Amino acid sequence: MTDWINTNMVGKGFFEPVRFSGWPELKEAHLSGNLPGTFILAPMAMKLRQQGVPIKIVYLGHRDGTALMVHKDSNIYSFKDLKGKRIAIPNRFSNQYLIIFKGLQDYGMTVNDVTLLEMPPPDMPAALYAKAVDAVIAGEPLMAQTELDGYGRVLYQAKELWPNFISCVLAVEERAINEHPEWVQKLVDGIAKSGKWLEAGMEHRMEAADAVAQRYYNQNPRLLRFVLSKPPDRVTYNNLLLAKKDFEQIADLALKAGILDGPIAFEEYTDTRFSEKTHGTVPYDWEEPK
Amino acid sequence: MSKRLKIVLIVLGVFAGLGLLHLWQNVGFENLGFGSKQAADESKFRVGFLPVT
Repeated sequence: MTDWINTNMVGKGFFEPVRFSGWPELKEAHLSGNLPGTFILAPMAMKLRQQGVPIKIVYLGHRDGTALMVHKDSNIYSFKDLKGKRIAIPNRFSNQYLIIFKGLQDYGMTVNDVTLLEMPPPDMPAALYAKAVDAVIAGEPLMAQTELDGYGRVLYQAKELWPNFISCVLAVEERAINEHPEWVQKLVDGIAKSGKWLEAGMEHRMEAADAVAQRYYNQNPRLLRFVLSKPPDRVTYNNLLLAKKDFEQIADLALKAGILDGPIAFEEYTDTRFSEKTHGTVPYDWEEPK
Repeated sequence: MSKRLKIVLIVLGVFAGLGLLHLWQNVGFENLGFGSKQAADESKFRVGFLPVT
């Protein structure tokens, strides 16, 4: 969104969005040093930092926007019905995994009571359609695609299980932070401004859906219009500051789930300077030409 | 110039061309210090993403 608005406002984007189809490829590209910034799974960023990779989380991309889907014909109506079922998750180092871990715990089960399969999110709709798995969980719009195409049913929206759910975070190499802090601030400011712009009205959400679907996601605009409006708070963009309590909750669950080797301090994997400067940000002053 | 020398030069030229193409595609000349500092500074900040929210 930030790139699209910048491109329209000043004729060029300041950043080069690079699309990937799987988390492992994205992680490897980031580690290679040719991708200074990346939207990455929050626990994956923490784990990389714990392994000594010089990255810091500087901002959020959105909140909520994840759903646990089952086949519409299935007899799964709550977490307890997932016992013995196959669930596709985007990655072991994802909050989607942690939400399953937490949900199972809340219902007196463990991850040993289900079969978890790591699967690239773009493959999940087909896997659910073919009933190769019983449930899938990932970020939108892929979950809504199963609903819109008539074979998926929402079991839970992430926010029902984990209010103010965080999926992806913006992580930046420390080298880029040290050498070009002004670029990082510009990117963070742009995300904050475009987030506020998105929340300024349904008309903006629909314009964004059309532009992002065609220019960045290569998906049907109808799908993104559905995701950004049914319901309007399915994905939210107005509370993107790095909140210590949110990350401590993630780190605590990640530790219990065994995906972190030990406790890690919030200050170790975040740099809040850029996020703090977005207090009082106003939306982009831009309207799409009619 | 003998025919043999011509063939050797052509082969060397093809290899040199392929090498440069490979270097440009995989490393980028600005990263080798061939480009000006201004050009490097103006290169865009790359941000990776998956087409999910």
